Amino acid sequence: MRLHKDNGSDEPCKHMEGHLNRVADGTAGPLRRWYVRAHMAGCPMCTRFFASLKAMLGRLHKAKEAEPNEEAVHRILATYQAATAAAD
Amino acid sequence: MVHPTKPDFEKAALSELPLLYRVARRYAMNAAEAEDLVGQTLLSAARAWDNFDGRHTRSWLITILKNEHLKTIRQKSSRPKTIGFEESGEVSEGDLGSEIDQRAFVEDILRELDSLPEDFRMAVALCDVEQMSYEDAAEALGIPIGTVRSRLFRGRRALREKLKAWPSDTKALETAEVRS
Repeated sequence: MRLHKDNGSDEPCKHMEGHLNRVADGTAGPLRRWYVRAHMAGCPMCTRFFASLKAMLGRLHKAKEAEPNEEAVHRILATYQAATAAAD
Repeated sequence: MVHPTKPDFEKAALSELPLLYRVARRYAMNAAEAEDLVGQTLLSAARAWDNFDGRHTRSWLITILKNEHLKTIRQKSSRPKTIGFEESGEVSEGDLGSEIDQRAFVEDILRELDSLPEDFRMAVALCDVEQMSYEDAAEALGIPIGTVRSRLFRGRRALREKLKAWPSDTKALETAEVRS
């Protein structure tokens, strides 16, 4: 793997973005993971991109825990049950 | 052929209610509309349950939700483009410090997500928020897996660009754990 000159950005190499996404979200196989890891060893831009992507995915996972609020679910349930009872 | 482990409708659908509500929020972007959307989805799903083979219930329900959403759009001919500010006012005054920060942070990231074009937004919502597989998301959205990946990666890129503008993001990025 060649070394990439650090230009200070967190823009990934064009050919790496898909691979980095697959590794970050855990859908990459071992070969792809190895390739990404080897590439990142010599590429600070891809390393920064990967770090920010992982951080963002972590935040999105937390967003799942925050929704919904239980009151909304209870209201939906009550509305559904009222509608089905009326139909019966 | 009906799947041998097909549960009854109420058990299957109601266990997915929180997920359906979250996905509906991404489509409707308004709490009241999301509730209506999920209610309509449940009614439509209940009617179609007997003809459903019982496989991939989650994807099947999301597909119905998406179709109900499209139906609503056709009826209204438009949808709200922004989330109302009052939507973020659900935190009680008794909540303190980190809880407020956490809630505000989640609302912020969801607001940024909701500002993405729908195709990107739903790919990110299903794959990254709900953590569905590419395959299940593709089935739910009625698109090929390659299209899911493409929309997902482009959606992430767009969301990342938006989050870059956050002052607090810098620290999080600096401390992000890099591992595969």
